Amino acid sequence: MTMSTDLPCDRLAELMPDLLDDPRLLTEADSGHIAQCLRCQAEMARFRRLRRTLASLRLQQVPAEPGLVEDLLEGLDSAAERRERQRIAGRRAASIVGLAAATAAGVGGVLVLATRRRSA
Amino acid sequence: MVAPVAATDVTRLSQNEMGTLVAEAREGDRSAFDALVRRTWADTYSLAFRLTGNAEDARDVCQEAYLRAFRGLRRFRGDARFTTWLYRITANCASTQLGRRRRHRHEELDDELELNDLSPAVDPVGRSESASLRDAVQKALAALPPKLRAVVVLRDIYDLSHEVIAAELGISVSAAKVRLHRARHRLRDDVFLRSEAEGRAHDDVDRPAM
Repeated sequence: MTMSTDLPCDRLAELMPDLLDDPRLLTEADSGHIAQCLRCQAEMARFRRLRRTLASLRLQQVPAEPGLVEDLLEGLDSAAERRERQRIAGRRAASIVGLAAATAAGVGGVLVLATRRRSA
Repeated sequence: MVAPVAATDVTRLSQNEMGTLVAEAREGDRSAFDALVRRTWADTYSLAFRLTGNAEDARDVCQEAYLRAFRGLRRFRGDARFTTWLYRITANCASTQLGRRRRHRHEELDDELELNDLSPAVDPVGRSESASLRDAVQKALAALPPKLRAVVVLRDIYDLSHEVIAAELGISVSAAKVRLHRARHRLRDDVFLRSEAEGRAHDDVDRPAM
């Protein structure tokens, strides 16, 4: 095994973070180089270890202040109440508009009839 | 700052149970949605904290994420896991929150992060990693700029795709990849190179003078 410090090591070191997602970025020549280069092997091991450690954090939860879940549920209650109030207010407004329109139509009808009778 | 989470509050549901609750909640069953909140809040809060770096923002992000999920549940098609969908919403809310924060004040990161390891028994890989390495990674993560931290947290901890990360953070896929590349490099420098350099310095001090 060699402890290489030539250009392939620098180029591969730059490539290492992306290899975690896509190992196809390595050419056959790159793989051959890594197989013989302690520096590149160490670098690859560091990145793999980093990735494994990051993945292991998924199972660790950050403790929250007590009462957070109750606050979240209360927030949802308030949002649901607001939405219901808006729905009722919207329906009430629609009823008032409908009633006003019906009244206006009725008054208009009466006026038209009265005008026709007078002209007859 | 924080107190430990009771393990009973963060019980994980099987995919079937989760699917049933999601279906009931989509039909308007509020108690089913509450049950989903009770089962997922600790995960959601952890993600929010990791993305924002502080408890106050994490709390706000968490609240906003559940409100959006509640309003948008009918649009959830069920072709992804509910938790993944929730992660996406949380990431989006955190991105908005961080943008708002940047406009108002400088970033204040809390690197005194306490953790509860909930399932070491079912995590042989995680268990095999040393606690000190995990601590070092946590500290290095907390020290990253928020934009870099977001992509590495979403990709390497929560396993979201580049496309999803880009969509939720409002950036291009190539920008997401560039940030991830930089973030991993910085973490590697912080976690390994610094400790290796410190180890060498320590050896030099310990070595007797000839």
